Amino acid sequence: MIDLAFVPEHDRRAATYELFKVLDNGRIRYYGSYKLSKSAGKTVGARLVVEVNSASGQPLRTWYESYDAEGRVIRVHPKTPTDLGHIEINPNTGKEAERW
Amino acid sequence: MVDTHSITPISHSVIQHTAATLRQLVDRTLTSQQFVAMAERLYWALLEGEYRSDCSPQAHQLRLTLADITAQWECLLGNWHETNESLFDQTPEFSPEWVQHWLEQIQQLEATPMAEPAKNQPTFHINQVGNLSTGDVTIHGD
Repeated sequence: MIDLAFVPEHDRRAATYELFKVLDNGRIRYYGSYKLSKSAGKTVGARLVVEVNSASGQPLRTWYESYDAEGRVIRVHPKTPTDLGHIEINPNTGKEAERW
Repeated sequence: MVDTHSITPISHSVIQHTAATLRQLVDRTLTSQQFVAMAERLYWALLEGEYRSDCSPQAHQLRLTLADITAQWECLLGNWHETNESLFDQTPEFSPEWVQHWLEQIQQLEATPMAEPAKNQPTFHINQVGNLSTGDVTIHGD
């Protein structure tokens, strides 16, 4: 169980990001502002996600998540530590469907 | 734990540079992809980098605008790929209307007076010897 009072920079991040999730593995995911797509297609919104080590407060990895009209993640774009390009996710299985 | 990181407020020149870069996008002297690379760096600086502790209204608005720009790029790429999968060597461009809207948002920030950094700010070191009197509060040193 993580005591958020002892997570470095948590207060600042909680005030800066739109929401956060505490994971069982001791990491915390902070979600940037969700933005509705201005372009037409199955991608209706996206946001940046930052995963942080709760002990050190250091960001471990970041990616963009894209969502469909049902709010399901349909694509991830890992940015750091390595840009892996776009990974299409099958929203029914949660598994990788394609990379580009 | 004492948070010792320095607080760097965004400067007017950062906002001016962002506006100038958006104007290059309007003039088509910069591609959307090139612009997004700059926007991502600045967004990161405002989230986790040198401007992360700036909670001014200008920084807040700049974060929202940059969140929109970078998220729209991801959406545009995804929706472009959906219908132009064979055009792997091409990238889409933002709609001029979107760029104009972002430029207007940044121009509003340009016109907003920035808070001047305080001069002769008192400094405080946690291991400072002696007592630091700050009005009603006295902080005892080691």
